[in-house]
Order: sequence, then structure tokens, then C-alpha cells
Amino acid sequence: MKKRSIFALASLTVVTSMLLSACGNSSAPKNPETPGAEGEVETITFINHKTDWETNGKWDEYMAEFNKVHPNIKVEIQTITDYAGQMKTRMNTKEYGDLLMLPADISPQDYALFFEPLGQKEELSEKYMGLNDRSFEGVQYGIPTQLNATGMVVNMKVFQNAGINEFPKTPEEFVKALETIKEKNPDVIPLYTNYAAGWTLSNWDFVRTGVSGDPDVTTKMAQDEAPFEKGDTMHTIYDVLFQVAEKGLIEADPTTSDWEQSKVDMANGKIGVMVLGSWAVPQVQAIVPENADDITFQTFPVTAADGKQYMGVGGDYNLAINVNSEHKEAARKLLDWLIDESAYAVENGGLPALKGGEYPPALKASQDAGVILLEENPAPAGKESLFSDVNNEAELGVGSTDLEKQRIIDAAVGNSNEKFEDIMNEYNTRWADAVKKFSSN
Amino acid sequence: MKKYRISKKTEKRILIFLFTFIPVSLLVLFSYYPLVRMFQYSLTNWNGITPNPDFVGLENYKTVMTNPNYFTVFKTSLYYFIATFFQLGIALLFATLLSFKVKFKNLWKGVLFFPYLLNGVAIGFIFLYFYKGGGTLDSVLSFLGLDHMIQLWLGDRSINNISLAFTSVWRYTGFNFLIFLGAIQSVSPEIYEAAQIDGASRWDEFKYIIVPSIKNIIFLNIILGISGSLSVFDIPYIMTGGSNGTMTFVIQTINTAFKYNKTGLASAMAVILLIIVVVVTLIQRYAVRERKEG
Repeated sequence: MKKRSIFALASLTVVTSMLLSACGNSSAPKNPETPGAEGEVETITFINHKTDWETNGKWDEYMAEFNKVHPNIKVEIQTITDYAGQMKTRMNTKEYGDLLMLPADISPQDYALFFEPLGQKEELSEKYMGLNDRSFEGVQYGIPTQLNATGMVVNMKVFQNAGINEFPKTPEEFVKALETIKEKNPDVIPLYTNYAAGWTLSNWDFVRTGVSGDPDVTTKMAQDEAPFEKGDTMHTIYDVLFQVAEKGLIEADPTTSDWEQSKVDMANGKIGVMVLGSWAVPQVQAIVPENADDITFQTFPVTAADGKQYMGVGGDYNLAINVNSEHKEAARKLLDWLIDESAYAVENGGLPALKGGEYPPALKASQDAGVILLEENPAPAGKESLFSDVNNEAELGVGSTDLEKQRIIDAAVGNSNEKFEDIMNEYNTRWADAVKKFSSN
Repeated sequence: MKKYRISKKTEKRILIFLFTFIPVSLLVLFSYYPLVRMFQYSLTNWNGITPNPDFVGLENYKTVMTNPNYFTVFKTSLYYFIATFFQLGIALLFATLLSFKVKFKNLWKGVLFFPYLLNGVAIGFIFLYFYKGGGTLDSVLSFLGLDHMIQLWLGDRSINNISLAFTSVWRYTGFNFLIFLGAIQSVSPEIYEAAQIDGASRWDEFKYIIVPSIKNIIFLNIILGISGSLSVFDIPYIMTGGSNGTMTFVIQTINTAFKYNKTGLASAMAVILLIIVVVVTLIQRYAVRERKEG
């Protein structure tokens, strides 16, 4: 009897908690009954990283537009600041929204476990660009929201004030131009590295496509046992970084640099250059609209072996549909609308994935200058994840983390005694070990 | 209404069960279960996402133990370890002062303990702006006419770990202070009276009464300082992200798991750190027992 009372109490707790959770669940299916006439309203969740659009009301505007076409789909937007980090945890459950941005870290062979196939790649590629990143064995799992060019966001006014009217085309000219800016106007920071932000320096790695002018640069690098040798693409890029830091052409205290402030300073002509993606241009322009024309986008100042200049373009986050979703069709409608109909790509400074779409003004300038936009070729079959495997194994974080780029800057400004060539040699050794490990498997 | 009759003993049992049920289940759910899982992960090559990682046995442990790069970061811990002694010194000083008759005693106690109540992230940001070029510290120095002393507090590798360790001292002094104060106040006031009658000075009281009676607590605080300095995380993570020579073992673990996608290896690193901390704690236990018996 006495024991039973404990059981009774325990079971009562269990029952109550079940009831409570049942209440929570039952509220969801009730929704469709409310509106009546036009039919059932489906509620889908769209998780993404555009926190700024949540705050400035852009998402509300977009969803209002979307509901004009599809009044029966109600979209709940969830935005996450640390998108890549949090989604990784959430994807260990089944609850990661109906439509989402495909997180960067997922390996190609795992796509089918997490995402709904969107169609055959071959068929889709007649309509869209940038499909190489998120396909596996001919099946497409994500479509990029936009394609970004990687290069330099430049305040041309700063260059003109120093008497430079044309953006440099070689590393030597570039470094010299920054020195001239520093001489003519000591208050201006010629190049701002955004060392502390933790992701910005990765853009130095992304420019490799444009610098090499080779659409297979990444695939080749994944099999090259010495990609950091003098004359190699990565060596050239890192050498520019080292030189500008060594000559004091960057911010005085990189450790406390501030990303939000850097955009403001650039808009106000206190910063000359930042290595970023084309998506950053509208963000800088929006700060001081009067100066918007000064902010341009240029390719990394290297002329490829054939005498031409290239600028790499690649997919931004890809939209993908949760394989566990119960509203796949509705999610697909939103995906198609965002990519085919909305102005998402252009408003974010990128090229639309839809072929024949409008070019953003930021890229028109460099297109006029004869820069060729170059999209990387897909990795050959069976080697889709080779680059990321080698990169993770070597812990160099090419395009994924900033620690090694920070190390180059630390060495350049004299915080450590390392020599540039020694660092490059070490990178070569680490990279070679990783390449060997994966080629033997 | 029917009355239930429960014996005192059963009632006690029910109460104990009910009161401990929630904390124990929270502890199991958020400490022991993840620990078991972490140990499982450490035996695989899991990348944090794929549902079917391979079992690799002790491979991850071998990688950590054989690569000196993973252990050199413990050098950074030395700064925090040395700072621990300053921290304990300051804490002991104030605890002693406040155990004597002082005006506004509770106010001072509150002021000293306050930093410990602040969130580590908030402290990180406060001190980030404090040390920043043209920040609070620089403004104060130039106000005092000490412009020549201004440095890149976080940017210069020769001092940035000291700046960070100072932040840590500022944060944890209050905690040590409170422990010391408690220990000092547990000394019977009659002993002080007797000493005063015998003509002992304040210094004598400190040297011959306070220090001997809180010896164990001092030792405990040192041990806490050691395990704390091994697992420093939030302050350097927020303020410098481990860049420029401020890397600590825990930041490295986080990077391994979430930036290089080697969750298996990172779990092994976490297990190794756990073992080191447990060993340090056991040494402390053993040493304290020796003292008591001796």
C-alpha cells in the first residue's frame, strides 16, 4: 500500500508530463482547420543564417510576396547566428526545419541521409549554375541561393585620393599601391584583415580559383604533395598577405579588429581594401548610401599565366529540403520561388543561380574591365570529398578556419620569429602527409 | 476525505527520493550520460554528423599522445598557473583585512565577490574593450600622462597572455576571497582575544593564528588553481579566439571538433584532460589526508 503510493505519485507525474507534451503536439494539426474556404494551410519552417534580414524585416516582406503566389503555405522563419555550428548539432535529430541552408560541413556521401533529392543534376544544370558543390553520383541535393565572386571589396575613392586610378593587376603593383596610400594618407588603413572575426581570412583561400585561372585548382591541390611551393597559387596568395602585414599596411592591432566596425570604416573611406566575397558589397554600400558608388568589387590582383584576369565564382549556401520533412512539396515550392522568382541573389550581391539572370551591379564593373568569371569544375567521381578530407587531416583549414592565416600575420608583424618560407615548408609537409594518407586508402 | 497514514521512516524515504530525483536525473542526463557517450565517440573517427562512424580503437589516443603539438599549448596554462598565486595573495589579503573590524564590511564583501557573479562571456567583452587600442586602459594611461606605457595589450605576443591571465585573476579573486573569509571566520574569536591580551600585533595574529588554521584551505585553493589553469577556456576564447599564442588545450579541443570536424579525436582530447584533472585532484586528496594524519 505504502509502496503503491510512491508508484501512484510517480505514475501521476509521468501521466501529467505526457498530457502536457500531448497538448503541445495537438496544437500543430489544429492549425489547418482555422482558415476554411481556400483549403488547408500548411506551416513549414525555413531555417537560415540571414539574421540581418530577420531584424530589418526583409524576411517578412519576402514571405508576404511568397504568400501572394502560394497563400496556403505559411512559412515560419528561424534565423541562427552561429548557423554552421548549431545546425551540426540539430542535424543529429530529425528536427532541422523543412527547408534549410545546407551546412558546409556535410560530406557528399551523407547527403542522401539528410536531404531530399531535388532531381538529376544533368537535367537541373540546363536551368541552374553552381550545382557542383551539392550533388552526389548525379543526384542533386541542394541549389545555391546565389553565386558569389571572391575577390576584394575596394573603396576606389581611397585609391584615387592617392593618385591611383586603375586597380592594380599584379601583387607587386598591389603592394606598391597600398604603400602609396599609406604615405599619402597615414590615417587610412590600406588593407583591413579582420583577423579577429575568425572566418574572414578564409576568403584569402577562396580566391585561389581566380588567381590560378584553373577550374580544376581544388581537385589538383587535393592530390598535390607540395601545393605551397614558390610559384604555386597558394604560395602567391599567402605571400601577398605576409607582405602587406610585414610592411605595416594592415590595421595596427589585428587581434582586436572588429567586423561590424570595418564595414563602417570602409564605407567612410578609412579602409582601402578587404578580401571578401561579392555579397559584402551591398552591406558596405548600405551604410553610407552617398558613397555607394565608391565601393567596387575587384579581382585578386594577379594575372594568370595566359595574361588574363579571372575571378572565381562559387555557390553560396545551398537550399535543401529535410528528408524527414512532412511538407516536402510545400518546401519545394518555397525553394523554387526563392531561386526562380525572388530577388534574393541580386539583393545579396551575388549572381542568381538561374541561368540568364541579372548580374548584380557590383560585378558589372569588373566584368567591364575584362575579368572573366570562372566556375570550378566538379571533383571527379569518387573524389568528391577528397579535398575536405585532406584539408581536415592536415588541419590547415584552407577555406574553413583562420588559425593558419593568423599565424602568417603573426609572423609578419613580428609577434613570432617564424620565417614565411619555413611556414610554407611546414604546410607542404603537413599537406603531403594528409595526401599520402588518403591516396593509400 | 480519507487520511493516508505513512510511517516516519517511509515519509523520510519518499522525501529523500523526491528531493533528489530531479537533481540526480539532471546530473545523469547532462553529466554522466554525455561522459559515457564522449568516451564512445573517442573510440571512433566520427566527424560530428555522419550517422555511421568507424570504430578505430585507441587510434585517437595514440595520435594525441604522440604528437607534441597537442601538448605544447599547456605552456599557456603556465601563465594562468602563476597568476593563481597573485590571485590567492590578493584574496587572502582582503579576507584577512575584512575579518578584522572594518567599516562597511558587507559592502566591501559585495564589491570583491561581484566579478565572480558575472558571466564569463560578459567579462570577455568588458576586457576586450578595456584592452583595445584606444580603449579604457589606454585612455586612463594617457589621462595620467603615461602615454609611453601604452602597448598592444592583446596584440603583442610578449604580454597578451599576461593581459588575459589578469582578467582571470580579476574574475576569480572574489571566489577565493569568499572561501578564505569563511575559513578565517570559523576560527574561534576567543583565540584572537587571548592573543591580544598577550600583546600580539595584527601581523602576529595573521602569522600565528590565521595561516596555520586555514592551511588546508590554502592548499585546496592552489589545487583548484592548477586544475583551473589546465582547462582555461572562455576568457581567451572570447577575447582572442586562441590566436597569437594564446591557444589553450580546451580551445584546441573545440577547434578539432568543430573546425576540423574530428569529433572522435576531440573526444579523446577531452578524456585525456579529464584524466589529468582527476589525477591532480587525487593528489590533492591524498596530500590533504596526509597532513591531517601527520
